[in-house]
Amino acid sequence: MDIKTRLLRALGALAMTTTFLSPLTLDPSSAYASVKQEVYVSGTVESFGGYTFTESLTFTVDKPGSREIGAITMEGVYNGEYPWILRAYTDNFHYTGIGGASRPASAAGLVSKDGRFAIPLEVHSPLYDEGIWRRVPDLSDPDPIPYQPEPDLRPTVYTDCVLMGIDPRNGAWVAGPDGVLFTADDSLLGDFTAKTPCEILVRANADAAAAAGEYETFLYLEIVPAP
Amino acid sequence: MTFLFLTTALAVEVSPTRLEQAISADQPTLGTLEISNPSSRAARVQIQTGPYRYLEPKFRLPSAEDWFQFEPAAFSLAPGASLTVSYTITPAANVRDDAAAEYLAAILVDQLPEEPNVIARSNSDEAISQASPQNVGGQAKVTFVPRFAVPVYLTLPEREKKELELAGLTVRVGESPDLLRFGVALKNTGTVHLRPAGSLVILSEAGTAVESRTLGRSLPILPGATLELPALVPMPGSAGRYRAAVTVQADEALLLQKEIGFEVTPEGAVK
Repeated sequence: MDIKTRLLRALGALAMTTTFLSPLTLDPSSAYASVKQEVYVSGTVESFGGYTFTESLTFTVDKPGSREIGAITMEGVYNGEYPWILRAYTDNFHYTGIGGASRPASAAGLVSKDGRFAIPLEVHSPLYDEGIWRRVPDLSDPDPIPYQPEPDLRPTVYTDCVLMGIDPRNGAWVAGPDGVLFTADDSLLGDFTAKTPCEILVRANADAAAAAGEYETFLYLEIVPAP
Repeated sequence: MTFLFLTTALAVEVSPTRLEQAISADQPTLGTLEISNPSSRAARVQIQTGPYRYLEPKFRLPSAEDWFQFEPAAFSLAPGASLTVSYTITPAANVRDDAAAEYLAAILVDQLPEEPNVIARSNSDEAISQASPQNVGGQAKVTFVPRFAVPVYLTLPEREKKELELAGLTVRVGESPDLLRFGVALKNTGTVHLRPAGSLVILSEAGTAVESRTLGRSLPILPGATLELPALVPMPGSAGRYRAAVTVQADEALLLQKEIGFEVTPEGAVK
């Protein structure tokens, strides 16, 4: 199929975006990045629910090092107006750090009950490439860089830990699994979601300086809907 | 790896999912949110405010983060139940003398676990004082909190100016030689966000419409921000001179048009 035919087919799909009901079941073979003219355009769909998540993980910190501590099971679907993202972060306002430390430590991750120590967390979304883990930031991190879509395939720079989302402005998400625009696996909507139920793996990285003790955190799984 | 327990938290639903509301600088403004629990389990819900999301780095607009009061701000919802939450928006005193017409925030709707963490729920001195160096057990707990961030736009109508500049219209060969790539640059020169929609028409030298495309509806362009809407259009089938005309509408009374001429050479270049 030549590029013009694909464009015209995709434009036909574009006209359907206002009634599009199921991004999670989008057939990639019917979607093409050639509708990049849609890149800054939002569509409206009826929201009929949200994702559901595992409530908590409890585990034992018995030695330093990086290790998987479990998985967040996601069920259901969020089907709101796009673009939207699902991101993860902590908000450890009770973190104090160690007085007199030579460099400020981040509050991101699990925090000890006395507020002095933190164990960083990382997550692996089923949408990430194998072996890729993203650091879970804390809201108090200095100089955060919010998620910003990059229409072309230049590397994106942001500190948000995006687990999934739909954003037709995001060239990498539009490009689909092969990472190349204008190929048959492109996703019309920039659909960066996984079929549910799925699991988001969580990894903790306790270094030798982390004191023994009880650690806790709230890990926020935030849907940032279309603005 | 040690899992001690896993349960399922069910996300509640929020309506509306976006709040665009006119307010007064002199008196409180009232409104409601509808929170529902479609699940088969009871849900604990907490509502608070936070900064507006989706701001570009270093792009700052006045915040309404501290203006909201919710009633109730924390509650439980039985399975299948809904609750109307009332809110009161009380602008800060300095807003009367401020020049801004729009203030941004996010309403954060959290579904809390049934048994909250002891320390992560509060930043009070009391919570921190519960820490005990003798409390060595090596246990760690990550509690997941589903959160929905409702974007909030509050405007003062008497200061509202809807002004948009169609700052540029460009054309070049697109990512594929079969495509033309247009760029429609829009600058919000007013005082409140705009969501313009537009269309693009390509005309032959004789004035016949060759192609037409909708630009769709833009995401909000905040005051002072510039956004370029890209549009990819199939390359005309024959070389020659063409005109491209774009029409953008941001409000009933705010209609902008711009036109450029260009030439497609026999080699497929665009001049």
